[in-house]
Amino acid sequence: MNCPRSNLISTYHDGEFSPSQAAELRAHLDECAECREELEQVSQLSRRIREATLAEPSAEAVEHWAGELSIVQDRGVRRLASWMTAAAATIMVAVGLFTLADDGTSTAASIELAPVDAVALLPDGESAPPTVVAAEWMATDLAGGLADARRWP
Amino acid sequence: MVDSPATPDAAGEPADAELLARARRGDERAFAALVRRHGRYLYGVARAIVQNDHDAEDAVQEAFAAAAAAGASYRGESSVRTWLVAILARQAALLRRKRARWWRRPEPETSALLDPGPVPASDARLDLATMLARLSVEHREVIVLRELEGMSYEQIAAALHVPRGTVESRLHRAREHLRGLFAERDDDKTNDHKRNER
Repeated sequence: MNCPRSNLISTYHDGEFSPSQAAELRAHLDECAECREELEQVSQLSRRIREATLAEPSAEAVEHWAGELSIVQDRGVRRLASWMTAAAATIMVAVGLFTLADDGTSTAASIELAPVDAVALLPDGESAPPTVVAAEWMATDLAGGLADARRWP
Repeated sequence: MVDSPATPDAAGEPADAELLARARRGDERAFAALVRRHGRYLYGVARAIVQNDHDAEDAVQEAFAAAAAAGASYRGESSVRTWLVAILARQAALLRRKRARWWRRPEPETSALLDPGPVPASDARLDLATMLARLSVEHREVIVLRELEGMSYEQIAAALHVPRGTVESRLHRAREHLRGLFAERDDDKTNDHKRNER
């Protein structure tokens, strides 16, 4: 291809130029045999592709997909439930950590040690609020998981 | 070519958008009707992109599942079929990435484009999947979405999560590649024809 505009023909063929760009290229096509040939080739290729046959699925496959709605919905509910559980756990951990940080006894940087710090810093005879207990339990659980993960060779 | 049935409204059947809305509310019959109306076409599109039966079936299944879950996001800016094809292309790409994490499935090595076998009748129509087998998957995607489904560059870019300029350049290169393959194939056929005449 010698004409520098021949690489614009594909986009012109698809009607993706602005009206002014398209008008400019139309004027060029009147003068350039090479670009007219390029446009004809792209159009011919399009026809060949559109006339090609498509592979067909088995009738069993179509019926299998057709009966899938309840499975799809069950899967959606399960996914939503797991997302909500994860979100709730994250919020509770965050609330617990911020509560501790507000006491000036812990910082966000010591996340892995937060459950241990929290238990140690409660005044004698005073029990932790339920959200803090839950957050400590989950943070401990996560920290345990991390520790377990690190033990793998 | 596998076509979806004629305009459903003309046959007194519910339109696609209505079936989609009902399916989203849990109407199993509406979902099944939508699948039976477009499943065969979607499979043909998927098979041309992913190049194997198993992944094509999985991609269609995931696309209908995603469509049922995301039915509310259909805003009528395109036909339901085009919307489904966009979801299918996205699901096929996700599936490909998922598979790539576990193993590398080799691309088909042979193609009727380069190995046409017995010379077919001059007007014989090629199977689209065979026609596109020598292209990269990125080129197959844009060719199918543009040429078969007639999606705009913006729609393709949104479906594949790539910039519009990428769609434009991929289409240009894919067409050049495909034309080169067709030229080789046509040369082979001409040479075979000449040999048979001798």
